[in-house]
Amino acid sequence: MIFHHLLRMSLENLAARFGRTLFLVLGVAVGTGTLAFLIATYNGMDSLVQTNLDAYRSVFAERTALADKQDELIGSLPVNLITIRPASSPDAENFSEDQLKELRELEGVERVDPVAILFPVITGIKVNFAMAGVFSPDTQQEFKLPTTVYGVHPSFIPEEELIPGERFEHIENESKPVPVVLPAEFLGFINNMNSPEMLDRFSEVVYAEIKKAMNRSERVKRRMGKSLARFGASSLTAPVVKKVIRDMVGKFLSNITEENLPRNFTLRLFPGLDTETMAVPIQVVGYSRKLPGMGLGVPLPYLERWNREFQEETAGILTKLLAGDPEVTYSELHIQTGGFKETVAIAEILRERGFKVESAAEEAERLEAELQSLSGEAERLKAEAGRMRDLSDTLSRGTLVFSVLLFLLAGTVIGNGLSLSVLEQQRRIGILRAVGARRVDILTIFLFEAALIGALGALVGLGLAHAALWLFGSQLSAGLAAGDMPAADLFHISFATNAAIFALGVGFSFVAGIVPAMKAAWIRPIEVLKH
Amino acid sequence: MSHIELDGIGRLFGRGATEVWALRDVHLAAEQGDFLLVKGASGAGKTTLLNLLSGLDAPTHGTIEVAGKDITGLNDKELSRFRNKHIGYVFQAFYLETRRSARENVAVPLVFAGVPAAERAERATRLLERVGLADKVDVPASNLSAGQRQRVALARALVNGPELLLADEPTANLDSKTSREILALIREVHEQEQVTVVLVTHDKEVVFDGARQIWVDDGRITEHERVGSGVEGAQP
Repeated sequence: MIFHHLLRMSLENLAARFGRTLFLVLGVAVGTGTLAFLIATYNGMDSLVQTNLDAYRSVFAERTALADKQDELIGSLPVNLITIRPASSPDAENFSEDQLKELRELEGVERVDPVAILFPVITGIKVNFAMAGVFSPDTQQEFKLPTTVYGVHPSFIPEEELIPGERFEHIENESKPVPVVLPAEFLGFINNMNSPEMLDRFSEVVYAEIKKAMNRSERVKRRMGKSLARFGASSLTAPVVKKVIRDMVGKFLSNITEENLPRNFTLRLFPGLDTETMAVPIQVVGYSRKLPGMGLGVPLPYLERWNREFQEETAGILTKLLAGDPEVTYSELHIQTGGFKETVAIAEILRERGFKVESAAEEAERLEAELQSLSGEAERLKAEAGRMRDLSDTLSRGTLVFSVLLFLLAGTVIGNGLSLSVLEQQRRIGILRAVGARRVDILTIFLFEAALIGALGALVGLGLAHAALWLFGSQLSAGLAAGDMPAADLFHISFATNAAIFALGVGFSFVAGIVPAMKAAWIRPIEVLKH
Repeated sequence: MSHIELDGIGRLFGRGATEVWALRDVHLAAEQGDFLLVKGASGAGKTTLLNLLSGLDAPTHGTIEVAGKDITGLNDKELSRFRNKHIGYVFQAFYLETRRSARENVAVPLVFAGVPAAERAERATRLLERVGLADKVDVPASNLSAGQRQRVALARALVNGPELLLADEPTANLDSKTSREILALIREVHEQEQVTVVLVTHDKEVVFDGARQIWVDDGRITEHERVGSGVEGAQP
């Protein structure tokens, strides 16, 4: 009930001794402010350490993943193979026979082979390929789509690139079909077929064939009429039949999806020659957007096997096919080298000559360099994180020791200040006791004083700490090489920490005030009220 | 039963070679409304007697009963309450808080009695009017004369309506005219309030008509004497 009177007395005491009160408040302010600043700095350092550790973990994980990939690549990449094209520009001239000879004489080159350029021949839903220059006038008219047989290694087509897909597996059993990946454009080609113009053209061709067939005999005409009637043809007039054909084909093409396309084909490398050894069974395992043009992705081991087993025969066939054309050129060559080093060196030479060069060895080298860079970065971050951790630990210990010293100092200052205050107010205390104040009342007055000093000091200290952090935070942040992290985020004190520091300031001041307050409460009035 | 009763009181200060008996085997009784004038030389034990009566000090042996209650067995809380409710103490040096107004000084005991602020102000003002300081209610104690300060101190001692007023050399720091006024005021309060007064003075000339004079010498009560009637006798 009389607490607010006692509090008022405490406030009056503090106001009456303003200078000393200010000194004590500043003492607590320095203690709490320094503590707040140290905690914020420690938080900042800890954040930096965590950031660096997170970065390290991330880079380390990346490095580990890349290391795995590297192992896989180095173990399976055709590092002795270079693919070259004349140049990046579309109007560049193809390789001539003379250039092939010149390339074969390069040091480190074991063999140079032209790559077969095929044209796909699509009949219905079956896909066959015709080699360049060997096509019937009809196929030339219908599907003039130059393409390349690409040696595609599994690692070049990530799993997610397949639509749908599955990774290639090396098939040891040669009787099994060769797994291939068709370019995603193949689907686009099918979809293009479903355009009104293409359907009109298709219906024209089919109608011409139907008309020819119906003109052969009345029997055929009747059977055709019945069949067309089943598909909704009300008559055999050209517009009706064409419309039925267009609708049927359109519906058929609309139903073609990635899922229901046929998976198994027999690839005849050189149809028309009818060579059984050149017939390769293939299985489409997926479609990839990574394959350019109307190409066919074949795992390199199979291509290598073809090269190895059929190269001579292929070369012979090529020679045979292209005989009489001394100006034959090649748009793509495969150069086989003695090994990794030779591949890199020759690739560099060819690149200097202006050719468009691709080599798995260089890709491996690039990945290796990237790996080394990442490894170095990870090591640097690890060292940095270790250094920061040491610094953070040192700062933590320093903060603890410094805080204890600060509070001991502040406690001594507050204790002495309040003791002096008690000494000065002895008679007043004696009078208060004489007029009815209990010991606990006197104790309360001085503990209030201590707590008020603590509260004021803690508030001032926190204010000073926040001001200092605001002023110096960005410099600290920059100094600690965390410029991308705002100082406000880095060197911050949470509300809970603020509250804890405030409570600590009040509590410590309160504790420091206990002894003087008890001295005051146990003052003997008869001794201080002597004349 | 007497209002005040001291039975075999002794008060020893110090130990061993430095020990001094401030009071020895004191027996004293007073009825409600008595005026006790305690006289004696400096160091005779007069103030010790007042301190024991107020409960500010405890006897080395013996018992002190005030209003039928043995105050020597009370704890701090009970003693504080006893002083607050039953004792008014006037000091030689006034002991006012100089920054506070006369009214605030007077009201201090009421704070510890738990009296609400408005009532404190009202009662303090009334007491100040009673001691002739109606126009000094809000004046800081530092701006009052010595006599006015002692009046404020008297008002403070009376504000809780004590049964026992203890005055320790209340005129020692005052001039003779002011001393007479203060003594007359105490006398007036005694008569009107029927409060028991114990007034300590070393001045042999101070007499109160109808008062009991008690002489203290070397810690012992050596003489009891009741003086004749007449306020005019209250001369220093």
